[in-house]
Amino acid sequence: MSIDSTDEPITEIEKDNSGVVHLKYRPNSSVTLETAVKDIQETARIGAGKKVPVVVNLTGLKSVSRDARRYYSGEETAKYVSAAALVADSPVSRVLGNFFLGIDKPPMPIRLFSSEEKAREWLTQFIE
Amino acid sequence: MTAAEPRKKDVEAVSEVIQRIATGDFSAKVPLSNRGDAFDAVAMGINLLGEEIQAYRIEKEEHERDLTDMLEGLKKSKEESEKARKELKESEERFRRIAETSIDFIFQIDKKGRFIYCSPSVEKILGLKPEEIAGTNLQDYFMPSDFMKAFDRFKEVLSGRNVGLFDMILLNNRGAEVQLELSAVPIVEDEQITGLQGIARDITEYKKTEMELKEREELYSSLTQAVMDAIITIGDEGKITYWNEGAEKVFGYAADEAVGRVATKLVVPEQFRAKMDEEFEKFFETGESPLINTITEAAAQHKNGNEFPMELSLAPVRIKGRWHAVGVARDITERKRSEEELKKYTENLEREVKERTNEVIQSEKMSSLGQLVAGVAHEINNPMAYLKTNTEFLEDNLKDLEKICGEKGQPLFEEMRELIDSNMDGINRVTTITKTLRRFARPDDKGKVVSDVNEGLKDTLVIVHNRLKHRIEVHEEYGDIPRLACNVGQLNQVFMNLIMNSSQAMDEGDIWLKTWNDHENVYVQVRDNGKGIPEEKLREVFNPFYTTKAEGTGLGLSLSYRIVQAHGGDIIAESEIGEGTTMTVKIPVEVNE
Ligand SMILES: Nc1ncnc2c1ncn2[C@@H]1O[C@H](COP(=O)(O)OP(=O)(O)O)[C@@H](O)[C@H]1O
Ligand SMILES: [Mg+2]
Repeated sequence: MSIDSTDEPITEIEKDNSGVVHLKYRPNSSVTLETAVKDIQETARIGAGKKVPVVVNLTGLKSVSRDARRYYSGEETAKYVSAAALVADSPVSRVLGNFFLGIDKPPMPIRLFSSEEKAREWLTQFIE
Repeated sequence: MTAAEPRKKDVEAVSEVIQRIATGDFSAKVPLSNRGDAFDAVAMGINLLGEEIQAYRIEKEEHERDLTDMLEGLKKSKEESEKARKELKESEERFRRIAETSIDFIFQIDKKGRFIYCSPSVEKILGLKPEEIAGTNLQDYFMPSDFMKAFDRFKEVLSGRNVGLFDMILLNNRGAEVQLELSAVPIVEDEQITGLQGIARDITEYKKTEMELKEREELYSSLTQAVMDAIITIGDEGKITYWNEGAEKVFGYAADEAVGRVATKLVVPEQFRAKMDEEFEKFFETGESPLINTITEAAAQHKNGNEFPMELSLAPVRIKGRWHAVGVARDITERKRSEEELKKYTENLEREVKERTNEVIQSEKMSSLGQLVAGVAHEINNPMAYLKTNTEFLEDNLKDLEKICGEKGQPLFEEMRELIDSNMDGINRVTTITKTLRRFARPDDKGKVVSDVNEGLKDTLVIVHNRLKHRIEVHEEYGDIPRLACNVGQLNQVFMNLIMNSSQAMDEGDIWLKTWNDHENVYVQVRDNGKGIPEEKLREVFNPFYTTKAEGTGLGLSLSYRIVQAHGGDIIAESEIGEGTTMTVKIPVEVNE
């Protein structure tokens, strides 16, 4: 099943008033490396030269490929993202979130939260 | 149905996937129910774990592959280096084998000159075994005089320059010189020159042969220089070692008769032999002799016993470390003869010149005296002879006539006797004059006769008297001078010239004749108070044909000067215009001729 990302992006990206960038996926989406690269590029564009804290809402995701996961918690992402708060409000997304944290030590602070509020609260310390 | 009670279908699905994962099929996935419940979470966890394991597995496999590749590479490079080492060892072995068996001396030295390696052939060259040489320095073997030259070469090699072949001289264990020809290249390790390796060849023998060859060449080139000359080489004990065709001709012995015999015994006349033997002995000891490198004239002896003059030159030649003499001898009998002939010829020529000169003198004499001397004197002699005879006859007849006529004719006879006496006196005087004239002229005077110069001067005066009388007063002052060995006729000619010149320099006046002597010379001076000779002409008057007189020949003084010179003497002219002229003839008492 291929989704044409240009026509129908599965990720919704926006920056809130406090400067935190929110990544939200359409329900039942499968995230591939391609989506991941696009998302980080967009995040970089929004940051405009500054690293930004990011909230990633894993709710409703069907799957995230391993290379996409690696990319999110990898060096490339750390160039533009100061910290990432993963929001997982279901057992499935929580399992996924834990795998996001990765086996290796990530190059930026990443934490898993059960609600957007808690996530934003933690991220405020990373706002430049 | 509660969470505590999983549905049988779900459990089966999970256990199947776990089983597949356990057997290695990591692509196995638990289908999600999409209920979002605990089952889905477990299923998701299992799926993700499977993925991770698979990824890990893949990564591990990649790692293993890399590792194997690495190991493989390592193994390969190890093999390669082993191979290279083997090859190196082989080439080293090969080099060593070449070095060990080479007759050439192969060596390696470090930058300080210490031997690192020496091939066994060094023993033949330096008389030392490689192990004796190891660690010693090349410098220890250099011949001191050659050291700097070779050292410079080595320095050049160590600076990386290509110097090609060069020579060096080493001293072996017995101190003998060993000439080596070598080439050397630097030893480079890690781009650094650490020493040099060279290959040297013993060329001592070669050099020696080369030298011998050169000596031989020298010998033969000198041999071929003159085939007509006798060329002999004389070796030990003065024995002839070489005898060329020229020698056969010069000395009369064939080569096989001469070679091996003592040279001096064969060709040197007995009276000179001892001296020659001595010279040769000295020569063979020292290579030196006064006979060497000069040309000596010596007496030689032919096979037929004849002695003849030869010209001999000896040259030393060192053959195989021994002095040999190369003698070149030339029979100079012919040359001597032609020399003699030449001498005779020269003498003849000289005599002829003298004769001609005499003739010229004679002709001058003739011109100045006219027929006076040669002609008149001779012509007068005959009539005088019969005049005298006739007068004596007359005298005798007169005596007879007196006896016949008695006392009567006495006064007449008296007168006649006086006349006859007077005639006789006149005849005697004329005879004296002719005698003087002939003595004066003496054209036949060939050599020198011990004579009284004063007498000569007086005779001259008699001859010229007529020209001087009434006009010129002659003052004579004769010293007690020694008699001179001289050509008096010629000297008289000189005196006459001087007296005549003086008389011609004035209409009236005086001439002073004076003779004297000191230890060395006799002086004859003719002085006048005539018109004199200008200072600048004083030299010229002796030049032939210089004359200021209308009828002069200009030869008088030049001939006079030559005559005096021929007596080893000189004429000194002094003059002052209007005062007079003094000519002084100086003749040495001892005339060396
Ligand atoms: N006693 C003298 N006084 C002056 N002049 C002289 C005297 N003797 C020689 N001379 C000069 O030298 C010249 C050369 O003399 P000489 O050789 O005898 O030749 P010649 O008498 O034939 O001229 C004379 O012509 C004369 O000028
Ligand atoms: Mg004269």
